[in-house]
Amino acid sequence: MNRRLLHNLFFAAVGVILIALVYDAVTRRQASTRILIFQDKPQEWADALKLGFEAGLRDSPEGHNVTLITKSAAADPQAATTLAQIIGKEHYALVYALGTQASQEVFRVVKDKPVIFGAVTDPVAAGFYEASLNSPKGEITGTQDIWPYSAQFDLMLRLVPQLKQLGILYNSSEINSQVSVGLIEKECSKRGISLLPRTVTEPSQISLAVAGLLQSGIQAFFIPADNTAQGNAQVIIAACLRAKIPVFTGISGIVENGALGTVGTNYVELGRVNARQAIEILKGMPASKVPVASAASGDLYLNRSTAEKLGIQLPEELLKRATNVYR
Amino acid sequence: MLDSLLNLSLAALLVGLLYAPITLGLAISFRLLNYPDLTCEGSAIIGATVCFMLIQAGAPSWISLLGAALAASIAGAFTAVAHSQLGVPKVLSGIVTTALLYSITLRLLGGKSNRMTTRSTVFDILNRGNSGRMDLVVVAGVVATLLGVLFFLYRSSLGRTLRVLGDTRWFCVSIGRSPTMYLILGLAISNAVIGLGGAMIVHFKRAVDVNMVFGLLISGLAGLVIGETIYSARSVWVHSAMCVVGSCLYNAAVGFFYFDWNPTLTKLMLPSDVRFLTGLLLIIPSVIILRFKNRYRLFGSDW
Amino acid sequence: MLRFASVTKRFTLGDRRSVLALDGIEFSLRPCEWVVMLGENGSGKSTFFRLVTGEVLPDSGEIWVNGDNVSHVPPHRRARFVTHIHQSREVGLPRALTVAEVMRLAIEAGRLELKGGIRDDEIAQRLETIRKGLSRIIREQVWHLSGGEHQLLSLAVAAALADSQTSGAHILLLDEHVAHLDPVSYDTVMESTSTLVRGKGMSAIMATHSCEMASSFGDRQVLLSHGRIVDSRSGADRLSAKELKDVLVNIEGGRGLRLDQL
Repeated sequence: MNRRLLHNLFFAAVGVILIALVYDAVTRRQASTRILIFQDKPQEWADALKLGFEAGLRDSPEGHNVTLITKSAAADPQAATTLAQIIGKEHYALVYALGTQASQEVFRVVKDKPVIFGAVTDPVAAGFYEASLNSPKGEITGTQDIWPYSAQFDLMLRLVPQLKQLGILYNSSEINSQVSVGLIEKECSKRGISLLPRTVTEPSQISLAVAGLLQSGIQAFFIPADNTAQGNAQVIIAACLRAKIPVFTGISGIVENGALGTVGTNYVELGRVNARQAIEILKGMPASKVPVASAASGDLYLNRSTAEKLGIQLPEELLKRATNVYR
Repeated sequence: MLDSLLNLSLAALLVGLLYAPITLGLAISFRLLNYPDLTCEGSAIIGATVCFMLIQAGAPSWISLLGAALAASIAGAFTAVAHSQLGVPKVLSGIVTTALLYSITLRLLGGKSNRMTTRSTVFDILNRGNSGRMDLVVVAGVVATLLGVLFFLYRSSLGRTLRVLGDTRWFCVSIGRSPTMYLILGLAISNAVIGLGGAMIVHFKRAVDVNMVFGLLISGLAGLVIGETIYSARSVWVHSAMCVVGSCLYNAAVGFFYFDWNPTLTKLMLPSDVRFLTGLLLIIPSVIILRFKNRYRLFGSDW
Repeated sequence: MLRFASVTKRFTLGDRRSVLALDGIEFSLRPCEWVVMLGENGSGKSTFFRLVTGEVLPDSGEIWVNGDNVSHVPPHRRARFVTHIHQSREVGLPRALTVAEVMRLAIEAGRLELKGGIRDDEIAQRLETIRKGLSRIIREQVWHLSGGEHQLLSLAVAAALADSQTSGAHILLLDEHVAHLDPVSYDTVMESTSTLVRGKGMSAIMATHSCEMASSFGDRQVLLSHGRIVDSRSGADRLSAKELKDVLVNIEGGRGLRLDQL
């Protein structure tokens, strides 16, 4: 193909696109209330959050007049920085950021608009709150993707009705673990189960700790939101299976690898919760006064072969309700 | 519309200057030394991590920046040694170092991939609180200082030897300089500059995250080549200045499509389509230059 | 000045074949002597040169320069006493640098102090010494130079490198440096080469496979064939071009490399 022709075609194409965009910008009206959704990389759970958020807004009367604009940094951290800078100076009613990284980018720059974060595990560690969730550092609120422990315990008691002692293992130097374990402890005392915790500081200590717990006579084991325990789940699962003790956790991936079951976070639901928070803010409540929330329900995952090995019968209705049943 | 453009320009300038050290460091390895140094992401993250740790320990800002540069320079030296002494091919040497550094970094960060700091950073020197308006001045100041240092480097015997080394290795031997030693020095320097860039990012974000260097090599090279395409410099200093310009232009191209476009039109595009448009926008300077000019080649490299 | 004592070098090719590039070479170069080394392709001329520059290390034997054993000295340290001018421009001077920049580097090479930099007139003067009118190329980038200009520049660089070395004794290796030039450039460059070698009293070894060159230049003719010095003639004993050709044809028989089986 003639080079000159190619050049001209290229310029024509670019010209058309640019003219369309400019025309657009010039003729736009100041639209209704605009909310910006900031996404730093395309991920399944982020898309689920968005879906829930949109649905939540649509289903409520106040949310009808809202225009949602999504801007994505497409997995480029440098672009995320630029994007945050640009957003900082534009006009939105509020900014909804998906995930910890995106929320941090936004919060750092946006000071004059309320910020809602979606699915941040620890908002204090992320820098949005001072010491506890009662002291926000600005006009910010959002949802945590904490595991639905209540639903977890329901599952555990359903499958292991004789549960009286729950074994748990975590790395004492990890901050997020303590949050997780604290919540589990609360759940346990509510249901009259005693929690037997063991701490480790290094993966090599795990086998010993698990052996000790199995000796003390636990009926089930729980792997909390702890990187060390999750990273070495195989060791824990192998030891517990040998002793015919079921393992529960919050991550579906670990269920796939041998844990008995879990109730994981449903991100669409979380998005809806964010939508409710957004509506509160649009109605006039300052973001700092909106409490941080988390989802009530979750997705059920079960492992059939583990159940067989343990001699546990998985109830029909659970199997039907489950999002995924691993072999 | 006009204030949107101003918005974009300021944002591009700020982020472009912030990432300019990366481009300058890559210019030293890819152009001056003619060495495809892929250590970039590794040295940026180790620089960032060391900077973060120094900030946490209460060190003054300039020490954290220098410490980062030093740590990153060791990474660069390692790459050079791997290639010249251990015989690892050029392209692989940088990859090896980056892989090693990833694990080292995570260990230093205590296993967490993302950590924040509340201590003061270099951006707090001019800012009282978080006004953000002086950020541009601080970044510009750092980049100007860096360019000044590079100015003296390029004038010096060391700088000229590096250029010779990249161009024709044999001549470096001919003038009695050891190519191995100068390669180590050269990559140490280029990665020190990149490490400084990583440190600046940490100061700006007040946090370190192992994922923040993802795509850094590509965006750094993009800035480098855009700067060269816009104007073919005839001296090494102008070339450095064009690297900075290129970094800003690249970020402008990326940010261009984050404009406040009318939602009806943007409904046709997915948010992630911005990359596609960025790509188109980046072809433009090349096509224009191709039509109008004969490019002067300042360095002996071919890519 | 330069001495090879029983130097042997064998290269291993793939699949268990090897080439004996140099076989027990005994060679001496006197100060201010210009040796022309004549040999067919594969006779070992390149290997010989690379042994002098240090690019290649001998398997056995020793290499002496001015009373020092330099057999295992790395190449960049040998630059003090040897300069290698190549035929191919790929391995020649830095391509993107200007002539001025290259000359500047060469002049500075041995000196540790830089007294206020080197002025352009010194560079121009050096270029003029090599050949009248050469200073016109001073602002050009090396890759824009013609073949002849490039080799003239190589000579200027060699002269500058020799001057900058404190020891003063310098060996010039001319590795078929005019082989690819057109007849006019050939004359120009060889004229300048002679002027340089004689004028500075350098020791030089010039490799060639041209019998014409071997008979027209130099103080001594050395014939190299299959890794061995076959003959060495100096002064009045030197052969004419035709005689050299006959000798070569007789020795060689067939062309190309002869491989030794392991």
